[in-house]
Amino acid sequence: MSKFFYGRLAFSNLKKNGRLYLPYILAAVGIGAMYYIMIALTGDQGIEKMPGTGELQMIMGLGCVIIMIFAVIFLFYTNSFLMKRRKKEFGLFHILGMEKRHIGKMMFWETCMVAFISIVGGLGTGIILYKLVVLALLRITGLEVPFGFTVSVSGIVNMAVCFFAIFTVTLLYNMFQVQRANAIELLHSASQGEKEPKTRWIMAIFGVLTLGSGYGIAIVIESPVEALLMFFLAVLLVVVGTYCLFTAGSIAVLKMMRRNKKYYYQTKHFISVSGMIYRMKQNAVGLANICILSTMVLVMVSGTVSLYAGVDDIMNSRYPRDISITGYDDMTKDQKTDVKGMFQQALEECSLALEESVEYTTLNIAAYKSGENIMIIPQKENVFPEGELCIFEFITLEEYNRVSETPKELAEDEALVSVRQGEKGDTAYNFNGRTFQIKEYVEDLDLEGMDSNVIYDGYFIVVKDDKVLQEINEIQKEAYQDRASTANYSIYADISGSEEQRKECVERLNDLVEAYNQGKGEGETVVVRIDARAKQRENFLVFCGGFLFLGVFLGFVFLMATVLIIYYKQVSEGYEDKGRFEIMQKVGMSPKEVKASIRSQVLKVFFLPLVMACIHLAMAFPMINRLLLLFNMRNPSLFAICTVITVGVFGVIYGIVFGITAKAYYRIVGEHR
Amino acid sequence: MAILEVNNVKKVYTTRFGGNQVQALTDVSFSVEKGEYVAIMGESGSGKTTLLNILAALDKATSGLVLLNGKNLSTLRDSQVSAFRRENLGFVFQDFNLLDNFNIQDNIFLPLVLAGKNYNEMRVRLMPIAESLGIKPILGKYPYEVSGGQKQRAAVARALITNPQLILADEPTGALDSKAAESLLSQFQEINGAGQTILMVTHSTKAASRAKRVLFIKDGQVFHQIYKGSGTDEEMYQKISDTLTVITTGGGQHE
Repeated sequence: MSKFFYGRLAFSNLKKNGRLYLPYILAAVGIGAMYYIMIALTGDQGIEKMPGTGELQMIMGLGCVIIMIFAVIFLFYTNSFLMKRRKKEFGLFHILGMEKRHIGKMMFWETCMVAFISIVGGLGTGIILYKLVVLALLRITGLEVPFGFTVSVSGIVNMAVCFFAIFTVTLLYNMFQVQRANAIELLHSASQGEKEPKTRWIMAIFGVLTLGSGYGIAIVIESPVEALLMFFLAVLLVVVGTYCLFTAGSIAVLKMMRRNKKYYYQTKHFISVSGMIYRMKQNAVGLANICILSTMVLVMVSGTVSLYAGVDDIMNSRYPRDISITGYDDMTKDQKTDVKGMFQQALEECSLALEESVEYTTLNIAAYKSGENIMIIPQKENVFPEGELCIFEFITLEEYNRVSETPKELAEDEALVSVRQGEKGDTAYNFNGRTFQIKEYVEDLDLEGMDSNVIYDGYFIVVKDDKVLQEINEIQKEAYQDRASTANYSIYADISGSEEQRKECVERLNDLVEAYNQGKGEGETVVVRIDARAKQRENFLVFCGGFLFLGVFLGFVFLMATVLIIYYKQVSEGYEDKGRFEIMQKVGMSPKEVKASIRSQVLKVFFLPLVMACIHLAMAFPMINRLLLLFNMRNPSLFAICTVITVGVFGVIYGIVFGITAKAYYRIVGEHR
Repeated sequence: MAILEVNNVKKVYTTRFGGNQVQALTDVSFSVEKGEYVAIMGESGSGKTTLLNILAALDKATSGLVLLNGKNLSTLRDSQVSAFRRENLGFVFQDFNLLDNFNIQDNIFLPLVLAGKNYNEMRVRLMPIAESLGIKPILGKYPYEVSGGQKQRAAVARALITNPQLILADEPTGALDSKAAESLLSQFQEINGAGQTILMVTHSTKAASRAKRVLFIKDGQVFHQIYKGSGTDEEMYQKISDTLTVITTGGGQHE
């Protein structure tokens, strides 16, 4: 026998099964390229050198892991599908006199070819697309483009080794499968599994319950921190529920339809209901996969897109003015004056003008609020004080009157309260024994930067003067010891000039503060943090852009998987429906009728996951909205618009893919024996 | 009155890239009277299946005329063919052609459902048929749960339920063991006794001997036919065997 016999046989096998193998290879190439790009980005020297990209590369590292896991699952899934289709062929070879080790040899060559094409093609595509991806990434993160065409050696090695391993494992798995089966089994394995599925009520009900509780969590949870914790639980519940509902629930519903004789014995429903029962059994898991993948794509893309689109909103709420200066550690009056002086000096040196500014001192205390009782006690392990953790910000009446239009007066044991988020209606507060009568709830307290924190409930308390403020400070210092907070002195200012000039001014001020601290002893130095919004915006854009990039990138990977699953589903259904199609025609259904009925069935089956994904997304909406609050993004309507657009685009792509794959399906069904 | 008339039917297949022409039917003429039970015999490649496909309106004759109940099949429009087939013809196939995703009852109902009948009417029609074919106990089962003979009887029930003018059976005993085949053939005779016209294509002398008349097709032509008349099945069997011997040995001389 010729030395190359098996190689040639393998090659002709692949060619003959092109309809099955081409999408498999294309997908492997695609995922390989994406994996290479991710690895290369993570280790890219050019990006590493840029400021603020540490987080970006961490996000990319996360992406690598996700794509890797996904590649394994996905290639295995597709491979098992291919094997199922090809077992008959192997059985035939076996009967014609090939031994199993010969089949194994043939499979070895096949896998070698597929692996070679996939790895080389994946790397080639990855290297070519890499520059494009980098440009896109830099564009959305607003970073400069500093480098030319690069090839990552570690990326190539990493990708080649990983994919080589995956293909080796699939080959071993396939060989094991063939080894175990006998020829007759191989011949008939494609036509197995024709039995009618049983109704699994328990599983269906379990599915409804898990899905319901997943939805419940997503809707009921109010606090963003809890949302973060519960998000994964909700996702898990919804995933489990989706699988149960697709496998058991769908069949239960269809069987109920069938039991309704009047409904069932109508030309339209007769064919489609029975066909769907049959289809759902084989495809439930695949459809659930499509549904979950679609949901992932939609959640990821809509979330990251709206985060990115909301960057300005977020920056405005976090940094209401061009420049914010915050001094920590209970600054003295003199120190405050000094800081303010330095700010003036920096402005003058940069020849910028102060347009508008506010300054105030606040004392922020975290405490457990239970009605009127507010406990300032340190958090210890296993001790959970009654009440809810809230943030109290104290300011003095003097500062309140400076910004308020209607000056007020207060006694020492009186306070004004402005509720940012939380309960109204208490008449007094008792802070570890120090009580304040609430004189009035005020609405006109509108200080810049005050609402940057929305994770916990928050209250503004206006007290008479510095003395009272100091009193509270002592109380909390006693309670929290070395973890106590300090009064913060803040200046928020709008200044003239370009963004560049403002950044320069911040630099200058930083220098001045450093010089001021030189040669001062402990306790005399000032700790000042100076932020220019422009600067923060840049950093934040890198962060959000990184997320957006990852979201779209992974969305693309998942979309590719969805497409491939749909394709293989269509092809396998095509082969299975071919026989049914012929019988129905013989019994007296016109080809047109058959086509129409199959079309409506296929349509229902394949758009079910999309509809379900949209329902998931709608239910997840409130929760994602709350998660976005963690990023200070509080623009539900923007998020809604982004979501709707994402769903629209996804729907169109899904529709196109469906149309193309449906064509493959009809080609198979229409083929003559 | 002739229920089916076949006059000078000719069928020529052209291979896909033109060139080769294969003449499947040269010139076939015969007629079937109402209430008749006709078997068509012939070797593989003699044109039996082509003829049956033309009678079933699944294929069209190249030339010639096929009249079913006075209706010319070649004038039917594509949109009418399926309904026509559903209303006038019942089919029994060698490999049963039952759908796995329907139970036996739903398989039998299929043509009626396609015709838009309501459930009660279908039940009323089914019961006597199921009774006489002895498939009542298996109505709720699925095709893969019952034996070949039962499947074929279900297929017969499906053919009968529309009260067709003509039942076309293509090797109905081909996939059955001898006992099941025997019982199916008896059923065919009973059905025919009740007035149902049957046209059966078969290889099997045994099966053909149950018919009232046997047509022999060879090389695309009706070669010979024999009537049972008042003879028994056994006499018919003998006659068919003799004819087949003549065809095989005598046919050789022509070539």
